[in-house]
Amino acid sequence: MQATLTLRMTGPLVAAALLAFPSLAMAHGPSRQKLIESVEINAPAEKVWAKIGNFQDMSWHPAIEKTDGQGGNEKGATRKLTLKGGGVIEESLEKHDDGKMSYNYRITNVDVKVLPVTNYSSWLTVEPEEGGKSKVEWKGAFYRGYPNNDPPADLNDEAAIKAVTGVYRAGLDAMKKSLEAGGS
Amino acid sequence: MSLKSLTRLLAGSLICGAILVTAPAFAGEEAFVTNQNDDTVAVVDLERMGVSEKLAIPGNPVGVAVSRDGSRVYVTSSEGKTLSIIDAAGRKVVNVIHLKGGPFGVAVHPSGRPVYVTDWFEHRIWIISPESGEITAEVTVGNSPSGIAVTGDGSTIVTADRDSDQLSFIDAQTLKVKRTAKVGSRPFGVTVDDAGGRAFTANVGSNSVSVVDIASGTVLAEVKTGERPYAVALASGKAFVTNQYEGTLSVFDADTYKLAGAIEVAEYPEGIAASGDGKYIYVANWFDNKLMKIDAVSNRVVGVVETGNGPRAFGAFIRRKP
Repeated sequence: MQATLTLRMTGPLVAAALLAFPSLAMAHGPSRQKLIESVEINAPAEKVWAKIGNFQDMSWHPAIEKTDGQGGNEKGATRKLTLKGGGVIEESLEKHDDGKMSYNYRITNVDVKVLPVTNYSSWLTVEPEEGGKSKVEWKGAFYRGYPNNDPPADLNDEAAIKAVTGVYRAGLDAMKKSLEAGGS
Repeated sequence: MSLKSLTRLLAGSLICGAILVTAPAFAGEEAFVTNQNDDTVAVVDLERMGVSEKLAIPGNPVGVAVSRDGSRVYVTSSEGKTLSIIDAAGRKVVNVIHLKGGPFGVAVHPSGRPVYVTDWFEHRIWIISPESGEITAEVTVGNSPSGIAVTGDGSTIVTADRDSDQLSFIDAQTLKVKRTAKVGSRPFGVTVDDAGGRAFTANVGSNSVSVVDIASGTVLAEVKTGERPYAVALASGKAFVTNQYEGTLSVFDADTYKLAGAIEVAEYPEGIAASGDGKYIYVANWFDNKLMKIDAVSNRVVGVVETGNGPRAFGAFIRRKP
């Protein structure tokens, strides 16, 4: 799981969902989900931010094969993440602040077979802590993959939370391991 | 002391004064805030900005409406598919009505009955008797009705039909849809300005607010907002709009529709409502779990309180204590 975001194919249910709502990219269920995951890293915040603060380079995440994008770290910049094992996620940058060591982005395009969420937005923030340590917080807000009532199990609220939790933990844990091993 | 620090000190004491001031003749107001992610409703004392009570409301509570006389609070649970009826003074749930589809927005007739609930999935509103808990009628509207409001004279019900890009105006007596008005893309919250007979709806998809004349259905203006506007409150001659994706409120003049600035709040501001006297605006910030109090004249944040996980407060959530 560590290195893949891809869920198992869910077959006819997903196909049915996509067919039923071909144009409703903004359709969503009634309850937005939220998630906050964090990690403490025994490295200064500046060093952590230098590794993860560039919107155009997500190589610190073990599930990411490559990052292609444009617009640098300006508002409106875009990136296309290609996942190891297949699947792509397209994202746009909403806020980027080197002073606060924080950026905010959204998913603009993803197949629910890759990540079972819709209307996803997220923040990644590094906070300095005492003794040259730091804390990285990854926050997300999203709806489940199935926009209509009574979702199938693989596209319900729990499935969405589980999938995003997996993405965040894999990234944060890899980040900690790499930085504490002396990587940059 | 420098002039600058004196000014700062004065500004500080003004803010403190605004928070601490108490008016003994006035019983004050409280907010009923739906915490969608922890299945509670927080009752917030708005004088001291403190949570005085938390009520357990299962099934992801989202929509809320306080009756005009302050006796009842109605709360929809979108996943539990219920309408909970709360005795506001007694702080207890007195009835739970089970619905189908996706109950979402809720409003109460100014007389106290009936109660109106939108069905996000089945494109209708339910008309519900608060005493018997029975569904007395249904009215078909546009797709995914979300926000709902009733005019102050009780004559017209307004729904924001999100996936039809329209408002529906329903005669409260005959329960017939009198007219519809095309607005921006994906209207969500809707607020009625009684004096002017206008409806203000936040268009999530087109980042704007449409202002519609209720009597004619004419669109009077479409005002640009920030990203993903959610709902609108009216106070001190201004409209305040929560911009979910920007963590801000857009502010514009409610008569000229000219932009009058923006206010930084917290992440994912959603439900928004004005105090009865129009002096304050209250904003539920869904991601940061905070209810903020904003001076509607100065546009400054003057108070904040943590309410619980995922406050949405979608509807008329302010109660004036009798």
